[in-house]
Amino acid sequence: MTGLKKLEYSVVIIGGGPAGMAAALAAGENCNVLMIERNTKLGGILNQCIHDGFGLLRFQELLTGPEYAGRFQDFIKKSKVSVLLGAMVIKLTAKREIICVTREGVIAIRAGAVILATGCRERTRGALAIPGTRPAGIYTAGVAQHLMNIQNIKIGTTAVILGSGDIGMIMARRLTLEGIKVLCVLEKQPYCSGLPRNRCQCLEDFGIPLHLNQTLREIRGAKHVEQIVVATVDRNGSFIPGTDYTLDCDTLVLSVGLIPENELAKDCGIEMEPGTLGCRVSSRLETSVPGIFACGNSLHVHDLVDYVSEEGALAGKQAAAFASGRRPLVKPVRIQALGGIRGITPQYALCGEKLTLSLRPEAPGTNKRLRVIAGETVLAQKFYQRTNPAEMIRIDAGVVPDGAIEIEVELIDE
Amino acid sequence: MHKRYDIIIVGGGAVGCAIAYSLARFDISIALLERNPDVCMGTSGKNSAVVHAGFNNSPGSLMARLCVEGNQGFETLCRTLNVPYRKSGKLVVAFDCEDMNTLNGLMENGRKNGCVGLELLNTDRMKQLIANIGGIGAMYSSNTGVFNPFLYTIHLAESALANGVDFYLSHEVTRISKEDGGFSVSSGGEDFSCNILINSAGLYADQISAMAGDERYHIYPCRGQYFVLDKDASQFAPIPIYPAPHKGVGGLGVHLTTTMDGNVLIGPSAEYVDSKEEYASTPEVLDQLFNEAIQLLPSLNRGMIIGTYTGIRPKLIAKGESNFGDFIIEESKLVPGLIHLIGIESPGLTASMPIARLICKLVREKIPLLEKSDYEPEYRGYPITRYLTPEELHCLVETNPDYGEIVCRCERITKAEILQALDNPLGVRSIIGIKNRVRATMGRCNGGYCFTRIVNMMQDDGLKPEDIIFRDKGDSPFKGKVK
Amino acid sequence: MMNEMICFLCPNSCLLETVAEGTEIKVSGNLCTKGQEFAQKELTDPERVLTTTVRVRNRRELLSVRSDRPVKKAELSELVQKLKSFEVDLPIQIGQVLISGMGLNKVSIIATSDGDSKLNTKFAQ
Repeated sequence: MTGLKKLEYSVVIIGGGPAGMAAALAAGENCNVLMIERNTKLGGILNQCIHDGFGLLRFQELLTGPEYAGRFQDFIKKSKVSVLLGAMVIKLTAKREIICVTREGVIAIRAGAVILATGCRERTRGALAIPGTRPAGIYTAGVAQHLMNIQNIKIGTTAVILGSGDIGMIMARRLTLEGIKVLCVLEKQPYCSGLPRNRCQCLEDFGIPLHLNQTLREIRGAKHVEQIVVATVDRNGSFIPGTDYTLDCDTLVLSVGLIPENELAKDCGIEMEPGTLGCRVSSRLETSVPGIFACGNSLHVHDLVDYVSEEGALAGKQAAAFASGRRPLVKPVRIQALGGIRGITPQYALCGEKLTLSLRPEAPGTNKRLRVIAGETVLAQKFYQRTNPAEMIRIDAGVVPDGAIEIEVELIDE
Repeated sequence: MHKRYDIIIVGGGAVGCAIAYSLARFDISIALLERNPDVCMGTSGKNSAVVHAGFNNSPGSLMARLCVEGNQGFETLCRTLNVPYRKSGKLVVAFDCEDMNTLNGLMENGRKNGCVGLELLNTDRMKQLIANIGGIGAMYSSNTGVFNPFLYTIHLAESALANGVDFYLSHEVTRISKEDGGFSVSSGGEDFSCNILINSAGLYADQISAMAGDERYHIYPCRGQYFVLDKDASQFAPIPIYPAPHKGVGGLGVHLTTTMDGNVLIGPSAEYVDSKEEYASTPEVLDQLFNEAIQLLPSLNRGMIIGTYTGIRPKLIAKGESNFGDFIIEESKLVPGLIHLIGIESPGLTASMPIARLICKLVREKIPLLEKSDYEPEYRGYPITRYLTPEELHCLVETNPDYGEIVCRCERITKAEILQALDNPLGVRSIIGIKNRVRATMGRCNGGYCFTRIVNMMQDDGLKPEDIIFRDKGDSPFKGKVK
Repeated sequence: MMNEMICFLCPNSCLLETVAEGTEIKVSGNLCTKGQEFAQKELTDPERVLTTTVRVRNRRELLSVRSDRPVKKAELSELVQKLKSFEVDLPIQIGQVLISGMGLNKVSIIATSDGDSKLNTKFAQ
């Protein structure tokens, strides 16, 4: 019996999707960096997102997911970053020790700093506890996307999409183009939860109806999905009696939200933020465990990959600084989200350092003003003609003044 | 072609498989007929998966005796069969004085039934065990355990198979006729005959009995719905938590069960239903389950839910009747050679091996049972990598690199384990077959990561997309290729 | 006639109001000049980039592709159908032209992935 292989790196990045790759590149400029990816290819979920709409901010071009990933794969190839593919991290400790499983054996890695870039997972039928039978033919949009776009497997003949998330709408278009009849998209909220451009290009272009305020009441079918029961909901999300109707379909695709993947973080005792379901971080993207950083969709679910890359790069820079010991101690300042906001990142600012906030509005609105306030001082404010939960708001709040005690963020009517 | 056996067992649940496993010791020919495409597809796989201590059952009953006996031997049995088991202990919580009286009654019951390890806890001691618990006091049972009921049943079956029992899956019994000295049985389009027919058909035991000529029984299906919570929840419920039982409730009441793998179950409901196939879950009951669970443990929240499932109990007592329905395990008084197991509901899993021993005794009265020289009671199965240390896993990877490829992230299952589950001795090749053997798709992402990879492996194994089945023949979720 | 549409050229997603005055279309609500072009195009001759997949010889996985320029919106389904019978051979580079002259706009279909999923761990020296 041979022992575990042991490795040591200044910065270890867990996850080789867009956040991880950007983090690795930024960290790798002046220290030794290892990126660990479970798949046999870098790029994460981008590889199955064959549609376009990526990279307008980062590359000033409209790229598809695989192309955006490909650009970064090339950067990584040319960089000094080490890459471990087909490797799953099964344990991370607060002392930044990592256990990772590969086909060549189990590896123990010590890291000067760790960056969590593990992405997110989809909310499932199980999590929603949708009543009814448990037949074949129910997929999350991402699984449907992988089966259809990569594995060349046709998932059904007649489908209903539950939830108007972006991947759901994109799959509605894909299924239609590939010869699967999409009856409709059901959305429980009174507004579309995905981006307007997807509603237009994926649903309206193909005449696929979007039914707002409607959701699934029951799944029927013993072996395979045969029928679903749909009902209208009121403002509180309760079913309105007498609004039930049935739809015959053999496929149900769920696009009902994304959940940051944070099991490694939770296991090593990192504090979590209920609003985002990600780790609590400072403006350096450092978690409550020193030397462990988080970025990308595992920190909070983003709308555009371009912002994921930007956040990854910041995490990479900060992790490298931590690993090299260049890190002045600064007092953290709690950031409080007041009205109108659903989840804000980061949760702590640092006096004398730059602060960029990412947040989502609670509901669609018009003529809103976002204000970032420290005591009496307004650090930043911006006017929005329209706000939409599908679109993340990012605001540069400048340098946090010394002596700030608390920062408050509010989205108010103009 | 007529297939002749000394004994035919109808039903591949935990009890049927335990009987097959036990009878395989003897030099007789045995077949097991199961209507589903795999074993453990009915009540045995859809319950709380608790090894009961035996304090709930009426003193002097068969249930009480077999449960206590089963509890005592369960740990050793699980070790013999390589089945995950943990002696978890459990709490039965009282919310008022009447409940406290009930707990005293359970203590007394337990004493009469011969179960040990029972103790009354006051509020403080109860809260020491579980901080955020509701209630005023509790009974602690140290001998209660949790285990993996799928692997238990599957390993019993695979061991029986290795010891010479023939398994016929997807073989629903459609006709039984009495012929001289035995039975003729039609099942799955084939004809069988046997001397002794063992009716371990669970929910359908009344129908099998009637087919064989004994129409005295009626099984009342009683549905139990469950939630599955993510492993986070077990920090709040480290051991199973039950409410003090209330009369007239067709079960032990809605409880929290910390499973072998750290999930927490909420359930079951107890609803008499019209059909034995009514597995659909219903919103009203699910809502009620969650509300009752919060009474037991206020720290729970709906964000922890990762799934739901439903089981059906084979009850001998109709709705509203209050008499006690004991297990019926005996040779039919009307049809000689027909051995009944009727009304085997909870604690049937715990009692399964003592039940099997009882059956061996009944069989011995009918035909001579001589021990085989080559019987192998131990069953190793395959390593379960999530229970291994990194060093142990590393050794396995060195022997087979597929142990180094983790296919299911949530439940930490390797490619090697999925391939072993796909190539199982019973020949079950379905997504659910893999799920029940290794837990793939049972985790928090419901297969979001592993499902597509499993499909890939099934294709590598030679299956076309449209031939990949979910549970049973003809239910493939796929319609061929996109292009 | 007045119309509302969302410009999806960039993440600003401007809500455009358009008024047709004869053959002229007047646009308001746009933050940049592209909004005018977008609305004009969308109302008179809508086009989309086609993204789909093609088969790869002797391989189970599909290869992702797109049109190098937008195609007529009305042609999307037809072009996806046409490409169903098409098969490519590896190796392929991202951006490589696989077919030319497709549809009214005579677009080229280019690979958006290199189809490479080999395990390729690398350690820096």
